[in-house]
Amino acid sequence: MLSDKDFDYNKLKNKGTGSHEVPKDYKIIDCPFDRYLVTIKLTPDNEFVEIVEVKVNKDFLSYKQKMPPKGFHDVEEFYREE
Amino acid sequence: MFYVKVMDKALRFGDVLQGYPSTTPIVEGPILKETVARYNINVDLPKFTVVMDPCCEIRNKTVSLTPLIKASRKFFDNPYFAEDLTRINREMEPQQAVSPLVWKKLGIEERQRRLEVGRTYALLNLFIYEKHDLLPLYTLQRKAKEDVVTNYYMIDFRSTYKLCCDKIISPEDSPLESKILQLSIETRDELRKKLVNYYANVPAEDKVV
Repeated sequence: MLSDKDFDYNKLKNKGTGSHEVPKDYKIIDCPFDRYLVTIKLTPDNEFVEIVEVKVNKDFLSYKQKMPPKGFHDVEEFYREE
Repeated sequence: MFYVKVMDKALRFGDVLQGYPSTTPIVEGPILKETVARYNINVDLPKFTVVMDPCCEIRNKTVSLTPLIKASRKFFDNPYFAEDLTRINREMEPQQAVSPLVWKKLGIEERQRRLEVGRTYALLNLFIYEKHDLLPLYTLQRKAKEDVVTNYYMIDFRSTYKLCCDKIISPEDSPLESKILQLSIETRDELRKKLVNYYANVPAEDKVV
C-alpha cells in the first residue's frame, strides 16, 4: 500500500510542472490556421475544451510548393532519329 | 573537370566499366498464362557500361548498369548543344533546348508557353559523357550536312538493368581492372541531380491545381 509520501511523488510526477502527459479522457490535436498551428484539447466526443497552444506553423510549404515546380522542355520530338 | 585524373580503388556511381554484358527481355505482350510463355532475351556486349547504383548499393554480387551509347546525330543540329554536348546534362533556357530554326517555327503561342516553363532540364532520360582519349571516336552521318566525328557518348536512364557477378562484393572488393573512367564529384552530382529530376518529374494529371 502506498504511503502519503509515495502518493504525493506519483501525483507530482504526473501533474507537475514540465509534465506533458495528457489525461486519457481528452485528446489533443493540431489545427493549422493561416500561418499558425493551434493545438486544441477535445473530449472523446470531439467537443472543444480549450486551446492548449498557439505557435507559428513552420511547415511553410504547401503540398503544391513541395512538388518540383518546374516541368521540363519537351523537345524529344525534335531529336528523334528518322 | 568531367573525369578525375586519379581514380579511386573502388566502384562509384557513374563509373565507366568494360567487360559486362547487357540484357533486354522482349515480349509481344504481358505473359498472363505460363503455358503460353513466349519471350526473347536480347543479350549484348556493349563496349562500355556505366554504374547506375549509388556507391553504397554496389554489394551482394549485384550492380545496376546501363550501356554507354553513341550520342544522337540530331544533337549536333542545335548549335548550343554542338558547342558542348554536356550542356544537355544541365538546366537550360527553353530557346536553348532546340535549334534556332525549330524555335522560329514553333509559333508565338507555343514559344510563349515554353518561355513560361523557364530554365529547366531537357531530354530528361539522357546524360552525356564528355569526350576522352579512352573513348573511341566514331562518325555520325547527317543528311545534307557534314559528318560529325566525335567521341561524346551518352547513357539512357531507361536502359538500366541488373547484373549479377560473383566478384562484385562491395565497391572496394570488385574487379577494378574493368573500370576505365571515374566522374569527378561535380559531374557525379550533375548525374545524380538529373537522375533525380527524371524520377521526380510530376505528370500533369498528378499536379494539384
